[in-house]
Amino acid sequence: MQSQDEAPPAGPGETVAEGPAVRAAGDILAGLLFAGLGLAALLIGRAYPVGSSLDMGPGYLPRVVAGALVLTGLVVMLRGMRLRAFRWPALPLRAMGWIAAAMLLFAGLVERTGLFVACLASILVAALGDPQARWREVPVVAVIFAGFCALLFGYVLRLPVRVWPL
Amino acid sequence: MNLWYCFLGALVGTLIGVLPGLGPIATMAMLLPLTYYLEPTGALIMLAGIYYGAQYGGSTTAILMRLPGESSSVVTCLDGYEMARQGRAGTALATAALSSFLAGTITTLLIAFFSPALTAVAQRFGPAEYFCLMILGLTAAIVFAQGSLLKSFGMILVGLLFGLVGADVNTGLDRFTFSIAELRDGIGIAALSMGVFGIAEIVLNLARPEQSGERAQSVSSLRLSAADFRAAWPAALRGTGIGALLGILPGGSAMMASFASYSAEKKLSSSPERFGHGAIEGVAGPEAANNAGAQASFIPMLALGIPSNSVMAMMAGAMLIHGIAPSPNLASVQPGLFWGLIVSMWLGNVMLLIINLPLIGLWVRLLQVPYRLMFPAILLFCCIGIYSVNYSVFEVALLALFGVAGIVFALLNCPLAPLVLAFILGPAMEENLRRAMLISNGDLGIFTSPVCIAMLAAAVMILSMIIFPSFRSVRAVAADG
Repeated sequence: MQSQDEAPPAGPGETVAEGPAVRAAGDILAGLLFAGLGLAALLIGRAYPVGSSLDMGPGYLPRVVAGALVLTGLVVMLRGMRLRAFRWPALPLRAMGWIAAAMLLFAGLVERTGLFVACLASILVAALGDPQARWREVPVVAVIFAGFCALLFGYVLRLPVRVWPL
Repeated sequence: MNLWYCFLGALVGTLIGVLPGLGPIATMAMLLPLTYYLEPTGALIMLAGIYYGAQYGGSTTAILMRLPGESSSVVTCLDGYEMARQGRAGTALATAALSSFLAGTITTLLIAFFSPALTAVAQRFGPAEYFCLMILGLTAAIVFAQGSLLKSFGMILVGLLFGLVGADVNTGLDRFTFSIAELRDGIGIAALSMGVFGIAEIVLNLARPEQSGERAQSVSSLRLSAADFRAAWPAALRGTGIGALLGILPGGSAMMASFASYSAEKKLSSSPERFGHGAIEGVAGPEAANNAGAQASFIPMLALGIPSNSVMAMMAGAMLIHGIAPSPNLASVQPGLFWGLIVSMWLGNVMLLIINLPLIGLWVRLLQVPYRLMFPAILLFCCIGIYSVNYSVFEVALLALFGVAGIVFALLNCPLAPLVLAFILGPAMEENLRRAMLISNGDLGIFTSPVCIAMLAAAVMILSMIIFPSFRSVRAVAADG
């Protein structure tokens, strides 16, 4: 996992203070990601009519953008490989997985069981992703927040959304 | 009524923005859906208020806890936190508030004068000129983004690609929709920006080890002595000038402005050694600059219809959701909205003074709420907010997807602002390019009109700035922050 000398990951929009191994890994993986996205777009969009520069079809720009993305990806990757160092970035799998699961659970439940239950369930699942979670506190927090959301969005703001399961 | 939205926006923006780790972009992304129920003017005024509030909230944490809420308050930490440690927290906070107010007032006047003039020019633009203008905007976004140029360029392409998703305007052919009906209208700006900025931020905060030590400093009297005042106001004025100039540049940001102002103050000072040890100019200048920069960045959007940074991209997204296309015609088609927004800028600054100075004790107490209690609320608001845009479960899933994408990009040091900007500009660029080529019968000569040449030349000039060592060093410092 993360070593001591490494700076903590910065928030989105900022960049992480980088050592060569981190920088190289970032370049190589980002390059692969760019190239992969570009290739996928080229493949999926291969049937879109391209047209001509005079009369551009729906496939014209997708092809130009995706092609440029593949090229950029390759250059970024090569630049990273020149640094001859590599360290996998520490992906916050636990937090990422459980938070994403919490959101998907909310999506799955909100129309079936209503807002209150969906909120309750997603807070409980989200807490699994929090290393600082205190398990005696979590159910209490979940009920309070879910109740607050049900009140605020269901009754005060009157969203046309089902609030209770029955 | 709009006055009330402005106040509400500034209050809620401060409330969320003051929470450590939540900058203006994340705050705006989270609160974007709240504004869907309002009239367009009210919605934009409230969003602008949220923006100023969150921006200002970042300074409070910078001064009291040495936690910059966002990159533009990194500089405020240097001297602001030192002042707080010397027991002058109140003075630092008051300086920040008053300089921001001064900068906001002056910049509002600038916007009121400049936007209509620029608009008049922009109204004569054809599709080719528009396309070149957007190229200029994206070039600036690459150069002024933090980190690697090549990766910024890649992120622009990724943003353009995301922008292509949906039915083609001219032929109606579905592109990259994977036969999902919800994607025919394209990817929602709210899901994309809230995912890459908001959700990614929640997860990265959770995964980060608990912030060590750094307790909030207590707040002393908010009074400025006469000596403080004499030192602060010229710095604030200079900061305003620097900020307004950098803010008008497409792609220029509040962050660049605050860094530039800090180094200018340090160079001009007769006692530069005080900087970093609680120099009041080091708070007044950058705080004025980042507020002026933030506000001046409205000029390209209001006058030209081109969002110049990710915050403006979000404003443009909000306009689109309300059925208003950001364009140079805004002032003539929607004068109420245009002038309402400008008046609200100044009012927003007044409200910030009212909200921040007397309520500072409340904000300090809010800083003590542990993150484990805050994040579920933030997460729920994001989910409910996105769901209530179209009452579509699919959008919530999309939010999760972009959250994961945002985390991956952030960890690979790929800047997210160019992505969001290109995503917003992409569809308009395609339309204008295709139209321009149709008009000219496929002749590239249409891009040689004087306006086009001027804009492309400006793009090349901005790109070549990267050669200058002094610019590179500012950029590097900003990236380290």
